[in-house]
Amino acid sequence: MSMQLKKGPSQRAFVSTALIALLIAVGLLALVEKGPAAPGIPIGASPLNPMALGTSHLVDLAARNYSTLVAYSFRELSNVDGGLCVYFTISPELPYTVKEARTVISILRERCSKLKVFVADESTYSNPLLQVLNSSIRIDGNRIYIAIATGVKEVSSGLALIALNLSSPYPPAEIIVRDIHRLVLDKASSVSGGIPTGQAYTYSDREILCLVNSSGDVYRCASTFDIASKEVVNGVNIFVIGDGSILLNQVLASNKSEYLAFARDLLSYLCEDSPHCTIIFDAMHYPSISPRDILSNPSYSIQKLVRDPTTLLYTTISILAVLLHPSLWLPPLILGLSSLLTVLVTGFVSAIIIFIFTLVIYRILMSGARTSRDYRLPEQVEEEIGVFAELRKTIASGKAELSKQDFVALCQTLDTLLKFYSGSGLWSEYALNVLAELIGDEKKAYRELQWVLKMYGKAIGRGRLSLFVSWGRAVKRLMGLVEEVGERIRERLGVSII
Amino acid sequence: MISPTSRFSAYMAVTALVISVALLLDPGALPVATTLLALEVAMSFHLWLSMGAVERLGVEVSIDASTDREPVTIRIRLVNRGFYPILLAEYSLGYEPILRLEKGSKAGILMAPSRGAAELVFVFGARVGIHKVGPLTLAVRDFLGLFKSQPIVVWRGSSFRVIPSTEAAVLKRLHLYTRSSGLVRSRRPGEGIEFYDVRDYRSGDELRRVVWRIYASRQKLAVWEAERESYQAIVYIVNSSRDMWTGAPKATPIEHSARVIASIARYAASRGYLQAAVVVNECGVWVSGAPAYGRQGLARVLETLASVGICMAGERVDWSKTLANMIPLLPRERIFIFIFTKTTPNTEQLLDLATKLSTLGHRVYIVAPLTATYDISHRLPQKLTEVYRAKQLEVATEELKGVELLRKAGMKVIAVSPQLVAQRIVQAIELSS
Repeated sequence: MSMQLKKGPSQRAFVSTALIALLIAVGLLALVEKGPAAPGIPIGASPLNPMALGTSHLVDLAARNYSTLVAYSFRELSNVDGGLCVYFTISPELPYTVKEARTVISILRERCSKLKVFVADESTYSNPLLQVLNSSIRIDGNRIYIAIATGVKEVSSGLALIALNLSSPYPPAEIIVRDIHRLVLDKASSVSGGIPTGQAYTYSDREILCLVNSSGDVYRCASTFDIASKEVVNGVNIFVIGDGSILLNQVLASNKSEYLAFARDLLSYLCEDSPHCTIIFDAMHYPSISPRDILSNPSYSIQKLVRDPTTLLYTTISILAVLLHPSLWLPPLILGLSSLLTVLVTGFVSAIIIFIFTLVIYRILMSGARTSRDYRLPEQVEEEIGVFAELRKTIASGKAELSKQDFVALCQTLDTLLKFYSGSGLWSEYALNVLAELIGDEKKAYRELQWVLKMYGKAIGRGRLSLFVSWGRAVKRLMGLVEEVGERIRERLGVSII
Repeated sequence: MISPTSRFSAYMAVTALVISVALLLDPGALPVATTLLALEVAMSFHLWLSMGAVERLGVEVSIDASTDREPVTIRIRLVNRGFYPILLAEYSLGYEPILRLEKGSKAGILMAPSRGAAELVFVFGARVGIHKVGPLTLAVRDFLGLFKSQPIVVWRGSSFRVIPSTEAAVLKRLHLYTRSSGLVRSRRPGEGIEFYDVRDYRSGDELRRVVWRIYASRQKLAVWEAERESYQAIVYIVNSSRDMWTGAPKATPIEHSARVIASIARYAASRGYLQAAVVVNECGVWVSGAPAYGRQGLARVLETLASVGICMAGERVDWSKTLANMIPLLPRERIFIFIFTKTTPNTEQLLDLATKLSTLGHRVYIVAPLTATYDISHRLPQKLTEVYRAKQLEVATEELKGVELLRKAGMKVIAVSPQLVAQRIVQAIELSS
């Protein structure tokens, strides 16, 4: 027994391909509109930088206990909604302008009931922020070095200048937050103004701390320098440390736990252990290297970015993420395609391309549509019917002509008329008399009768003369005779029969 | 059902071109493309709503038809019960091809506002008989002509009857002719019902006829005398086959015959004759019933004549069927039978009918209108006129031959010009009486 499998109903996708394509297109456009998370690979002490010199670990640490926000722009600052806000700026790579600083402080004052500002910076880039806050604290922007005195170098004007040997730029320091933290600083700057909360010192008595300006000149030496300070101005708590390095990833991730403890204590102190505290990390004042820069100058970029395998991996992934993001390739792609199309359509082929494109769109628009000619509704035709209506149609179409058959038929008409009048037909012996009586002219009647009989013989094939006959003319002549006879009958009998 | 027109194709081609330009050349054209597409969708939606309104249309029809003297007025009121107006609907009215529309338009455009109505008025030239008007068909369109609906029949149609009018001039002529020629004698006393006069009693008069009131007043016997009844029965048989509709409207053999019969029937009714009518065409036979007196007879004859219809099916008139239908209605007495018909094409069958009726003792007259005399307008170019006249004479010859054949067979045939037909018929009736 053979069994035939039934063919199942055709499977149709629940979500059509066109819909999926449309959703993908919408997604791509949305991604382009939103832009990449970072326009490039952040460098420096940016909170977005997970590499050694970044501060992403600090952000992670803060996020464990508090609400955190990384501010890429002023728009993110506008989203802050909290009671206590702490604004962190750590070793900015780009200087604050007064206008920027005013904007930042203005937004935060508006959005937060209580504001604290923490600055850890060895440069003077953050000073406009302190200035806007009307703080007396300033970061001097110098470098504190440990020096060893090697003797009197010169005596001039009563002053003895000591010959120095600058041994290390990393002095130890004590910073008081809640606890006292002893940390080794990096390239730190002294801080002036406010209430000092931290000081750099030397490892031994024979050492001395010296301040070196940006030109490399030592301009002041002392046993200690203030490297941290705090004050409250107009309700804003300000805490400043002259070194941002103590909060970098490389120290927080190191085996030295004192930095982590310091960071925890700092966060706890600034947030006052409140879970409603919002910590805002500034990410606006750090440059980033765009993938385009990396691709255009790889050696420079790699030198700047890649310092170990981890950062190499991170850099690679970051580059890939940036490269894969549609905001990088979609606009140039569309622009390129547009340019290509523009080139194509402005040339000779433009007409052909537009034509083909039009044809395709037309086929899509007309798919499934069956058009028909737009005739108006049929109108009723008024017409005559009956035997003469058909006759008229035949004659009007040009199909009817006068022939010898018509001549024969008219002879019969004449015969019928004569019989109707007298009982004697055309071929009877009294035909001449009847015709003569009707016409009133015996000679004419004889002539006409002879002609009719001769032509009738010719028409039915009995006679041969005349040789050439125009049957049309003959029929017309006979028709005249028939009508004359009919008229005479009407006059005599008072009835019209034809 | 809505279908796009060929104009829609052109419209979409333009739209496709604008879209192409918008995508390839100038994005500024995109709003135009969107507008074009939106317009197309709007037109389609409008037509869909209009279709719904047409399908719910109410149709009220009034037909005013009486005799062939007054025109037939047909009013068709289309009531839009919906809230959506019918803004552009094409209509077309169908009717019998022999009818002539004198006022109104058989096809056009109409609008029916929401909760409103549109009225179409058609005035036809009245022609004797029963005629059909309809259907009324509507097709809805949009303003740009991109779409149109399939034709929708909103009214299937109706029939109306037009009775033939009596021609006053003919009737007057008949009365004058019969009086002046002495065909109709004065009233005479005799057997009957109607009162004639009172005369002196003669021996042998029935006592029940004595007028006792006169005897009481004058002491003299007088009797009531009745008018002698002049009993006569007439049956009109009318052939309404297609060939009898030859000629100009209202002046065809059938219409002329109907008017002649109506005039004679009115005359005969005034004379108190029995009358009946039979109408026959290619589709069948219609009989008025048994002959009836006076006005009742006249009414039956007119009503039957109003049943004269044109039949577009069938080949020829079946005269044998006519005989079978009318024989049960014929009285035993001798009657007059007038057959209004062409003598061709089935002359033999006609002769058979006439012979059988004659055999039954009836006086049979065949009134043969010569169709050539009715065909007064042919509207042909001059050069074709002679050809037409020759062919026309051939037809006339055939009819005359039919007349000749019937006469040879002993049938009485009245084959005269239209003006004299009525006179000849009355002459035949009264002379025989």
